[in-house]
Amino acid sequence: MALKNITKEYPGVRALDNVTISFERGEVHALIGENGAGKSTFIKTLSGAIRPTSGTIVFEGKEYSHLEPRQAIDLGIAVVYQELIQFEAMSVADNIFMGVAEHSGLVLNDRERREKARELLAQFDCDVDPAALVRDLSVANRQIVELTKAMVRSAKVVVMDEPTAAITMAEQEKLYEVVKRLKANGVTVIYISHRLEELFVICDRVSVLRDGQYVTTCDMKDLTKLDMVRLMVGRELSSGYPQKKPASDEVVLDVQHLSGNGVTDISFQLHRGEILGFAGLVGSGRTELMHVLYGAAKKQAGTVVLGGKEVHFHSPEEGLKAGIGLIPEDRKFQGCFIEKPIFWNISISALASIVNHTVVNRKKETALADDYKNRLKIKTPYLDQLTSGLSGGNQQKVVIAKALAALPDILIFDEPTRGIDVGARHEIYLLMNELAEGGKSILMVSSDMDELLGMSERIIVLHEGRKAGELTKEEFSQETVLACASGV
Amino acid sequence: MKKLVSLLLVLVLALSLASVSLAEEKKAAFVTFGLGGDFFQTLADTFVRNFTADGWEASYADGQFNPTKQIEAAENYIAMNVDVLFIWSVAPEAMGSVIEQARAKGIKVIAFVAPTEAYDALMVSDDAELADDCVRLAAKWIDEHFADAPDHSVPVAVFSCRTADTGVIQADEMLKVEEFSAKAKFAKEVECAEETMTTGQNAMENLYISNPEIKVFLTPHNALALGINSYFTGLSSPVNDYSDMAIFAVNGDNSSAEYIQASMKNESPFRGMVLTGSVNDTANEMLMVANGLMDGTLPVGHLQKAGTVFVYADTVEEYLTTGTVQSVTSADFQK
Amino acid sequence: MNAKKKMSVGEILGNLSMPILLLLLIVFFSIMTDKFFTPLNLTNILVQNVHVAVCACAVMIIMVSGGCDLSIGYQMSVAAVLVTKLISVHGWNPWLAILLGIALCSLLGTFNGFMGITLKSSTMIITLGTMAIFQGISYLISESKTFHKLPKSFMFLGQGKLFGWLPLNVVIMAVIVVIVAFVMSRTSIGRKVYAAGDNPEAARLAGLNVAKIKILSFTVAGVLVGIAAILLAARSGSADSSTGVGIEFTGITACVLSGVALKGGEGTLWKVIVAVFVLGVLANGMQLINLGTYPQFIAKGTIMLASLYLTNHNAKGI
Repeated sequence: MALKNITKEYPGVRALDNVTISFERGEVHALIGENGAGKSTFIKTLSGAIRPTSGTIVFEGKEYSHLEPRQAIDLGIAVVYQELIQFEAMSVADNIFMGVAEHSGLVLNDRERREKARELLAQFDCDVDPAALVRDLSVANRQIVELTKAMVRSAKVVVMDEPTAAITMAEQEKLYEVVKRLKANGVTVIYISHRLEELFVICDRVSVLRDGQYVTTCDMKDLTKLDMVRLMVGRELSSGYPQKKPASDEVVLDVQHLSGNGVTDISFQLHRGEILGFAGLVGSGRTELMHVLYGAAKKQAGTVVLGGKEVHFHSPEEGLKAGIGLIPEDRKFQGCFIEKPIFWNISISALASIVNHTVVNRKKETALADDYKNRLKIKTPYLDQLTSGLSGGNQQKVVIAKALAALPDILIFDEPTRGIDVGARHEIYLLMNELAEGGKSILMVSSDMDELLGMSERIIVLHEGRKAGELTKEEFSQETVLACASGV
Repeated sequence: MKKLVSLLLVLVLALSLASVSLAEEKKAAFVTFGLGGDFFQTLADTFVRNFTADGWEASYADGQFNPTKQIEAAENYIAMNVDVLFIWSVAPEAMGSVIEQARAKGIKVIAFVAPTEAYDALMVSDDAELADDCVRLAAKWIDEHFADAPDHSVPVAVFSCRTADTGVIQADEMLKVEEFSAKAKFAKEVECAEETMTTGQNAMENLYISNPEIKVFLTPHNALALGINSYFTGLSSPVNDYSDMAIFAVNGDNSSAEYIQASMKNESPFRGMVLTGSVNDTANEMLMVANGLMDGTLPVGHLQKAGTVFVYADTVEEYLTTGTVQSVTSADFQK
Repeated sequence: MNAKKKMSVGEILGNLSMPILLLLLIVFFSIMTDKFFTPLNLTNILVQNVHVAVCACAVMIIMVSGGCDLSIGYQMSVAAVLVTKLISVHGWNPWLAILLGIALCSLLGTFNGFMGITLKSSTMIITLGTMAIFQGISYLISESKTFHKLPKSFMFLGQGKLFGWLPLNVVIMAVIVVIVAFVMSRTSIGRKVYAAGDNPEAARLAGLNVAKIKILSFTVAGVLVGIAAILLAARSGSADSSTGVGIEFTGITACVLSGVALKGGEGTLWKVIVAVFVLGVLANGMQLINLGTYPQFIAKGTIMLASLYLTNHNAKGI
């Protein structure tokens, strides 16, 4: 199969410029590139979600100028999208089987479908109830549902867009198994990921896109991580995580025996200028803990002392006023006002600073947005561009700007770099260090082990809502963290 | 120079000829209340027909039950320089300035049914009077038919729809049925949320459950009356003998008249209705007032009261054939 | 995530909020007046709401598919006047007239669906426009007259009784409700309608023809509306251009009260029908206890707020 000379133009932007990539049967082919390089656009052309402006798709010898979704499915092309385009209000079973031809005719046998769904999900060690509604599932489970969809359709080509972005380490292992199994069955897998380490584990070849253009295709064994980064970015990038000055001894946040929203008896201290990492498996309660601290969830017991004074937050408004800022886990739905322009997003938490007696001062608003755009290097031609039109990395920067605009002392970063490319990640790490060195204190929740180990000064590990361990830099190691997280 | 003068002369001649010919036709216009209904549409058409027959140029505009639309229509007619303008206002208070405009231009404004603050003539039908006439019609039948019954023993129900202005006034009049009839007893008022046939039918069904003894029904709304009638003439009606039953309504249409006719053969309980003059009568009255204002025989501020048309067993034939009833007037019903 | 999701008491209550409310109202009115819980009155309630229930089915199908049709009332009006005029004035065979009326209604519905796809506007706005068109068509046909001289065979549809007591139109309504409920919940076609309403993009990517599904929903709704119009005209024994007007609001109310999502993709038919009868019992009962017009409006609004609270209290987002 090959995609030849694919060009896709949108008004004002050329997302893909004359890209040609070939794929062989039964190979696991990685596709890498920075955010905005055109990877998602490329695979959407393949799946029929988008029509290329020009170019051809060649599948098993036949040429097509473009594909309709129905065609792509019939040909055996299945895609697991990063954005999880699913039927929220329908059951897992319905989602899996939607569009799949029925054998039993018009009337559906729900029991049979649920049984089949259960079997398929079990392949991933997933015991979600097939009758459950998709919107009640965690992100990780929703991703597994997507994978199951691909299985059901006996695909010949399976495309995975950032499949491991939101799942735990244990589940990642299962995924790699699945990919290997697919390969063994002669299925071609196209694998997009920002986590370069995992590509070495499962992929045979890798193609690189940069700024909508095709760069090269190489065998995995001929490359190092540094090579890949260089190809993606087109320039040298210092490896590893930026170093920062150590934190002071001043305690800015003292949490004692905090319970609420699913977490129990959590105690820790946060120092000025410190980046405190929070590790744990999915469901261990890290995000829940952060929500209690911010005031977005109810505290049931325990004390929180902020800057020497005891505080009780009944709403995020109080948390915000007290100087805590949150960069939420799901930037699209919890972080941004996705259909609103950039400057609107940035100013929304800091309206007090830009209004004259409740009337918004446009000049001040634009100045504020401009300031943060420069400081955070948000890539956009106009400030009134809708946030939905930005790449993931830039969206995240907008969310950070929004939190910063309220001038907090403590920042909570929940999965700061999920789904963001290497280049943008590095910028965010630099930013976090800059903020910490400037006197702010950071609580960082992350499922990325490298990130945790590289950025935090101390790590607190949660397990099933309780504190399972606290590690200092000297004690850092993957094994220790994982052990604590698993409750060992 | 000579050419210019002669061109000018021709133009002036042509214009004056045109204006003379135009001036010969008197123009009458009618801004209606709305056109959704047999009665409204027929009135508008008859207005045009009768006025044209008398030598006028006549037209009407759809008021669409909307004061703003009515004002627009009136303004258009003012621009067209009509001679006489009839307005049936949805919201009389809102028409003040446009009427002033018209009268300032010398246009005769006749307020129709709904009295506005200023007018050259006013044609009304008194809503309360009309309802009273309906009750008088009913009283005649009740007192004759139940002559042997003890006084105030015949139960009567009033079906009202209190969300419409005129409906409220008329219903209140109908509640006073005992003052008009010796044998009638006011039993109940059934309040309906809408004046539609379906609502009337539903309400009658429900009423029959609680009060099956009520046989006489008064209502200001024809649609409700038709609904009540549907219930009793339907296949699953609990009664087949309508001789002790009666429905009386206001401003019914042709199908009401047909039911009244059928009631004489005991095929329907719909016994009578009152109308503000037949459509033709009304149009002729409008013509008379228009002519009277134009030639000065009628004074400014003239009040024209519409006569009531009584349609029941004795007059329904006359109504169906001629479109009006001249043989019986409200004078016959005054006690 | 573990095993089967156990339903909390709150969730079960939320699910059954409509039947519970119905029960409460029935009990209330039965206590307030002994005329309420009689066979005659209960039959009346059923008969009075036959056309409402059938229309509610149509509204539900459209809403689940992600649309909204404000023109249903005038669709009924068109069908009612056309059929009754053809039979009473032009002497057509009733069955032929009925078939034509239903066919015309389905055409009007298809027109709505087609406009929805072509104009890429919200169907709520579009049907505001088609509503006016249909109103015009209705008045063109009826010329503001009422049509009433209908043959007994036609009236039997709306007023006849089987075995002496079972109203035929109630039976027809029940059959229709069962069929629609079955198709929507247990067939692949129904499932696809939910999908198209829940997430049209996901449906497209899953290979479904979203446009076809949405247009078809409107067509089927049109057929149901036509049937409702005929049942109503047959019950009244007459029809004019006001017949059926305003029914869309009752239909939408019943759907929203019972948890049908405005944006589409959610809703259960039996709950909608229960909601229809909640409104019907309320109207009937309020008259039997002689509640005046103005208090009736207030009562209706309060009941609606109460049922919204119960239905959505446990739902995660509407």
